[in-house]
Amino acid sequence: MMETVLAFGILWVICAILIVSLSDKWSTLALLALNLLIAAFLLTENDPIGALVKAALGIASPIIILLVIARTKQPRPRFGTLPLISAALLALALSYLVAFSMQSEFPAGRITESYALIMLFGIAFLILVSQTSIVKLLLGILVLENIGTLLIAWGENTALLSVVAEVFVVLITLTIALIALMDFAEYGSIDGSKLTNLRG
Amino acid sequence: MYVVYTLAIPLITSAICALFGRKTRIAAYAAVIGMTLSAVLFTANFFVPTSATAGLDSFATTAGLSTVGLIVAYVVIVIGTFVTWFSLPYIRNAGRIYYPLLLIIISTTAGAVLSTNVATLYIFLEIGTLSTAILVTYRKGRAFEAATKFIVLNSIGSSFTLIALILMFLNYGTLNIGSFGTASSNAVLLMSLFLFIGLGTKIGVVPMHSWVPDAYGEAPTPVSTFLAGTVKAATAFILIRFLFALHPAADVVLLFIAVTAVLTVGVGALMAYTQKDLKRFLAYSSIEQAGIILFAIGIGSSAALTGGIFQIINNMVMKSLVFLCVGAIIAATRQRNVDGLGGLVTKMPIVAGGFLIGALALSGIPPLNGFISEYLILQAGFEKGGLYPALSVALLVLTFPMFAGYIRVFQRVFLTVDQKIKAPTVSYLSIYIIIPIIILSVLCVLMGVFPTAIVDQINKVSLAVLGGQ
Repeated sequence: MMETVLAFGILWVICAILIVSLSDKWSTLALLALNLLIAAFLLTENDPIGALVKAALGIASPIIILLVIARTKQPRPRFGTLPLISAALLALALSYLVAFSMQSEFPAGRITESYALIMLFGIAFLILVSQTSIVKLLLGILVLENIGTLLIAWGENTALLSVVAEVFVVLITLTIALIALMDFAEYGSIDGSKLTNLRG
Repeated sequence: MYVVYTLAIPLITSAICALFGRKTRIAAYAAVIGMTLSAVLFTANFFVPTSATAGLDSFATTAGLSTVGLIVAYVVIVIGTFVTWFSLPYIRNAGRIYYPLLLIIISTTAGAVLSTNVATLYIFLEIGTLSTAILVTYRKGRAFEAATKFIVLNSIGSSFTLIALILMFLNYGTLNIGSFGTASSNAVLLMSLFLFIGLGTKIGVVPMHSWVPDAYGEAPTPVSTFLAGTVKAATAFILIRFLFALHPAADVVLLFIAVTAVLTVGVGALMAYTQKDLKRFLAYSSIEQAGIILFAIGIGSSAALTGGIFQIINNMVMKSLVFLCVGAIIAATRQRNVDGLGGLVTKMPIVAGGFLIGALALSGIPPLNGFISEYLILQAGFEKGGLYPALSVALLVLTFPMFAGYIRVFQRVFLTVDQKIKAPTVSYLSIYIIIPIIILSVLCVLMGVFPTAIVDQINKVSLAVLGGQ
């Protein structure tokens, strides 16, 4: 068990570092790949409707984000290592804590998938605590939402739930994208650290 | 359940308002008429025999709604009606989105309070959150920054809530909280924690509170009023409904909530004291109030929940009252900074009276309604034993800066006349602004002087909640 936790822990730290160090565009394409991977996973779980919904709506969110990126071209935010390292340590500790206290709760036959979900949670956590770009934060939120949509597939007769959750994922993306464009028009940036009129 | 109409009417009116597009005055009057009709029908609901609404009852149950949250939903609709009245003279150029989104927020808040179904709740919560984010951008400029903080933090909260709700569905095998059985203690721990983080973010619990002062400060005042007074308190009620439907109860999470609640009260009260902007002052004060409600949840006994639900209803009345008073001040003087105001008691006596009653009620001063609910919560804290008596004392001590803050603001805005500052020009206030202030002031007094009837009703609600209904 120790090895499994460690392997997943290290894997998601690497994934998270890749996501935060890649440009917004490549991170978004990574999300697109993740969504398609989840769709394929749902198909193997005999959930064709869920897979179809995920494939259709899972493409919508990255396209919206790519449109925002195209309309808000700006210098890349500086890559901060200190918050990333501290967040990684914290998230790793959290991962261990959850894995050890909860493994008996993991559904039979879904041990690996349960660890994969913890890994996704760790990635989202890392992105949300270490990033200031609104696009990156949106990516973190979408990774977090994906945990929910993946969990739905574990239940039975969940097609309607899947559709509802996925529709709201797209609506959330659309709303954040719209507000990011407003920010860009007002501040010339979609980096949260540059939105400072209300501070102090 | 006649109440289904009262949820549908604001939604239909919202569509009508959207259809009127640029004719904003017509949309405004349509919103006022729709909300007033909704409130009147809801009031009538309490006098209609159950047999007469059997068809609607069946429809409501299928849609995942129940009557347990009826009292709270009623207050949501009433405050929503007052906010719509207030908007009529306050919002001059409403534009295409203001009234449609305001009515959607009111309707979805009431719907979420009545939800006993995991999916229905999520739909209502999400529609409300997304509509609010767009409405916060209404004043443009700095409001975009506030909306960004609001939507990012609340979307994170939504994700946690979604995970918690799906875990509930997987563990209990049903979407309806009334049919929840028991789950393992570890699973309940995880679900409770995710639910608290998710809904806590929407309530503005420390440390996920940073969006609150910005969003409440930058949103149009009627919207801030509804968010601070009603949406926050309604979300706390939803937390109570779903948290106590989980069996067996996770005591460690309850203690965690109680400790977080005390921290929330402290941060809210201390930060409020330092504010000069009236709306930001009230925003921090609403964080402090959220802490008091959460403390009741953290205690978790029947008596505490009665106090907590009473505090939720009181918060809707008291907080809406002070926010509307501040809105009236801004409407009359075009000022929201404490330093630019003074001596308003003679120029705006009704608003001064309303603000004083609201401030004293929020500070828990007898014989007003806030005193009764806060007393019930603290009493339950002392009775619980363990760490709770110490936490109750800490909570009580930490509310003093808030009381001092209210006194300071009242004195500065209404009493003090600074000769160095030009006296603000006060313009005429519409009856649509004054009437809600008078009604809410009277309610604060009546609910404090005659609390028995309402506490008895709330007691039934808290027993139903603890019974998992």
